[in-house]
Amino acid sequence: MKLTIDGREVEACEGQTVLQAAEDAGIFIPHLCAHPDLEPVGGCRQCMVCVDGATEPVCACETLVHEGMAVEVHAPEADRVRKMAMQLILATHPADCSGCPKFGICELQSMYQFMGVSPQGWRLKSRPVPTDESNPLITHMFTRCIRCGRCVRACREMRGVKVLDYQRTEEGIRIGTDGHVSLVEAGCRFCGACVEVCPTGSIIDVLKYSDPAKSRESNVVPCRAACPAHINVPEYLRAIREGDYDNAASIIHERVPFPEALGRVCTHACETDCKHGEINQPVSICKEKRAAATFESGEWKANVRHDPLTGKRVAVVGSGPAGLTAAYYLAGKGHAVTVFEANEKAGGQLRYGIPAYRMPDDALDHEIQNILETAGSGEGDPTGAPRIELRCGERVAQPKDLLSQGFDAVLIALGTHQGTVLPTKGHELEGVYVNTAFLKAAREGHHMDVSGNVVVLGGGSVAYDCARTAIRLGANEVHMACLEARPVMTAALDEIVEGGEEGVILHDAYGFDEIMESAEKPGHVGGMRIRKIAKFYFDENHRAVTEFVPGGELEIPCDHVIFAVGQKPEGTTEMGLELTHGPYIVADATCATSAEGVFAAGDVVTGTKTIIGAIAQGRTAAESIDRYLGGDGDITEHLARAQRHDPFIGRRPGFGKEPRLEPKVGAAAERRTHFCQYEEAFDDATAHAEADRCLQCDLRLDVTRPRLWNEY
Amino acid sequence: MDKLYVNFMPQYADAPVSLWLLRKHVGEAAKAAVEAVAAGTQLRLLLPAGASETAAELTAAIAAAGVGTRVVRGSDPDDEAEAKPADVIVTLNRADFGFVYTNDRAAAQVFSGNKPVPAHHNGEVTYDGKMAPKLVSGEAWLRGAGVLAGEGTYVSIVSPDGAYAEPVELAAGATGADVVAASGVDAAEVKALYLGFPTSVFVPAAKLGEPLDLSAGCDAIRVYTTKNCMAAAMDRIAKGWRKESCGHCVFGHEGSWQIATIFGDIVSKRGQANDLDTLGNLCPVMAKNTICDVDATLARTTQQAIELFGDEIRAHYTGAKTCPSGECAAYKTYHILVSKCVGCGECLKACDDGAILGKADFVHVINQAKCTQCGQCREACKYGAVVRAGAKKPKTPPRPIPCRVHA
Repeated sequence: MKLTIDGREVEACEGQTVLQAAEDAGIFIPHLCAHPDLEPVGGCRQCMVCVDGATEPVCACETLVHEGMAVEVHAPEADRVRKMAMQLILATHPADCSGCPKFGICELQSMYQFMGVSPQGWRLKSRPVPTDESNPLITHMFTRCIRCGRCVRACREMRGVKVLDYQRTEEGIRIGTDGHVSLVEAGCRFCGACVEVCPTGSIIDVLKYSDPAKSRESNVVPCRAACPAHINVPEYLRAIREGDYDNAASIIHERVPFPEALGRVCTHACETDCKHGEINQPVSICKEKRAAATFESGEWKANVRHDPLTGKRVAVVGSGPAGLTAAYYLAGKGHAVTVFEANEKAGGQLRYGIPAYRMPDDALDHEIQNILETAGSGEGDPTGAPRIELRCGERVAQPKDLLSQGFDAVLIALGTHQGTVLPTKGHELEGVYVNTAFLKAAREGHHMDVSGNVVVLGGGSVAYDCARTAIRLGANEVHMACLEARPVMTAALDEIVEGGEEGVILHDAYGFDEIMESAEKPGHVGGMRIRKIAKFYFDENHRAVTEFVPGGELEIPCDHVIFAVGQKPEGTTEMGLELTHGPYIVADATCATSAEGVFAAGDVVTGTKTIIGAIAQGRTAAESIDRYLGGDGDITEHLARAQRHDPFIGRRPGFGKEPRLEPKVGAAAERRTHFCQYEEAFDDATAHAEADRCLQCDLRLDVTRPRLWNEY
Repeated sequence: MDKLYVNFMPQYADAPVSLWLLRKHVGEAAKAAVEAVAAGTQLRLLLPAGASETAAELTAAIAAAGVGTRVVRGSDPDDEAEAKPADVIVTLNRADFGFVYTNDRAAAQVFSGNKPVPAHHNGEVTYDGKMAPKLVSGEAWLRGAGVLAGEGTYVSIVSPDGAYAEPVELAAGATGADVVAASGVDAAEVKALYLGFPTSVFVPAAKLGEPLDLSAGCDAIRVYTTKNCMAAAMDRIAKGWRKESCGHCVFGHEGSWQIATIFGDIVSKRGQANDLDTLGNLCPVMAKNTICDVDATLARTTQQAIELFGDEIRAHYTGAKTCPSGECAAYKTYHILVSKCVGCGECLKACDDGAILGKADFVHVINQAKCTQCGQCREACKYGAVVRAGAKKPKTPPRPIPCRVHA
């Protein structure tokens, strides 16, 4: 139907309100309590209009359109009511906008500036309500509240949570919980809808999640932003909650080809940033990935990208997470990929750097098999050759040379397989091992001798892998010594706890004095002397300074010492590429190296980092190489079915107190005797319950954002 | 079965007339409920939070007649009541304010476990998307069921100093004079009546002979005499309304705040030159732009007060700035009577503000510019020479003069 608004002819639908019709036509009618996603109430009197020549103005948010309607937004009677209402609002609103976090994006500020009103002539008094920062995630600054009730309607009607309401106080009505209890006590689900719809600076995100340096999406859904590969965390948790493991796996596969591995050994930056961590504990996002991988049936494979073959060939040196990720996406873009792996089997650090009790062979084999199979054979290639050819046991000393051997591009994804030995006195003694060799030998089944006592030097994940491997291999006592004090150790907390349970004796904040020679067996390790550190810092020249506790020496009789103080790439110095910090290959943001056609990704560039970081690098490398080979660099896959986002999350008293669920873990006494994986995958019920703890922060992004008048 | 919703929430917390009638006739009310059920009607009764004993008494009497009955709390969602149906369900409300319950939609919210949220769409959709039922007032139901015999209406008469009397029945066609007679106040001193919410109308002394229109409902009628200040009356009325305001609309919450603040300023000598103009500007717009009738009624009351008592109110902040009726404490001043002062100097010693001039055997004088009306001087004077004066001030010398009386 047609109507006119301020003389402009506008198309509208039956059942629309005048305000909606104006919004659709891009005509600004001031409004505060009305919100596109909420039922109108007609309380703020900002949207007053005169209709069909009437002098008594009505609310545009509650008045339905009819054929031939003539709407006057700025009729004098309408403007009079609107302006008086705004003056009344401003009369009790803090006068100074400049200190408000919503300055410049505040709907109230925008609107009164548009209308050019001030509260002069009325009684002026802002109602001082102390800022409430006691709640997690949400800060209440109700001294700025104008009682538009959007938050209440969002909480009650849009979300069905029914936590916020109008409350009576001595000073008048304010928004709050019944009985003025905390949000957690009230059963708040911290969905953020109230923050999203607040037109003023009354309900805002806590400082941590309103960082102006970050994008809105990063602030609102920090788990997804924190993940180097930007896996759509809330979306796959939603699928798991619905019991749709296939779709969960598809969502994960859209960003990474390694859910099995990541579900076990990811460092999960997502959980560090998970907003639930501010309430009690983060959602167990990592382990949910394993649940998805465990229960899925492979539906995602149906939609994997298989672009027509390009006739281009890419060599990938190294079959770790970075190399295989790049290979997978390059194959999808139609390139024939050959992966060279120096070791007997593919997997890189996943296989040779992480012990089997954390990353079992069968899961890894299955995952690699998936990658090779779904990449498929070269359709349209008469030879029927697979798109990814895996060549194990082939070390490539000169990757650059591959360019002259029929390859159009080369990716170096070597990883860091050479352990670092410190020049500590006694490091050349027999019985001194290095992390990489020790772990690899154990994984290959011809482990090094650990009879007697073992001291592991280092405080990171790899150090724990070494120590716990030594325990499983039957060492008598296993000690660990590291420079860092326990709270700043780089190992994950669960590793420290589980290692301790298995018998690792930790000496944190110790310097390494000397590896002592055995009196009985000359030339062989006999003990380790370490010294307690009082203080460790970097001086003004960025040099490390260590101050020791007087008399803090400790001698540990031992037969073996394992250095787990870092590892670096092997063989890069001979490759004729520009290097940095010693053996690391210089690569730019697109993974391009100093040689044309040669790219590098993963630990060989970044230093020993994380599996997920390597995967993210593998994605970047695939995009760049595709572009280099004439493609568009778009490796996106659409594997998942669209999911419904139900905004009505409903009441759940006690929600904020529901504890994080952990997978079942075998008893320490039992698990220290073998290399089988001791942590179970979530069962269906636990996976569902834990996924149901997700705050669904992404629902906020579905809420319509009102436009300020200058955006019309 | 038909459902009938009966509202026993008081319009005024201080004048719970419906509830008072129910308490008085609980046995007969129970009988009426049983009869209603027998005639095919389910009853939902809404009672204030503090009326649990009445609710228990009533439901026990109903149950004794073999009719299923239950008491639920206002915070319980409706579904629960639906899940365990009973022919008579008494809902005990959780809040204790009142005006809002005259709004059907608001009162109906309570049956859904929500707070009473009023709306001008009386009888339309509720908070949870359900149709709000039409509510019948408790008094009307009792009368319709034959529990109340008379044809009149019950009101609580409020004395000039604010005391609520036990409800009395006013016959149909009763006049203001009848109310005055029932109140026991000397008719010659009456300045006006105020018929309480939702009627909310002043009846000036000149119109006491006319029949009162209480058709909109009214649980309390206040009597004002010449000793009552009408600015102070409006201050109290507006403050009472502030307690009732639900905060859902700008004109209701902010308009009532402006009215209450301005009258509060006027009675405490802080009135501003154009205060009644400001209110005169606000009230007609406010009366048409609140969501429900509660605060619109305050706007109409304010307009009527300005029409009837504008001069009296204006006197507080214009010219000599007095409270003509002498009620407002801020306008009362202290004076030392020449006829009684013996010049002992006790008042001067008691004054912390240095506001008293005088010396031995001289009549002491209060410097009004410095006086803070603390009253210490009056306490200190053994001779009754210090007096507090409202509108009429005694004559005192501008500076100390020799005493005319001696101790």
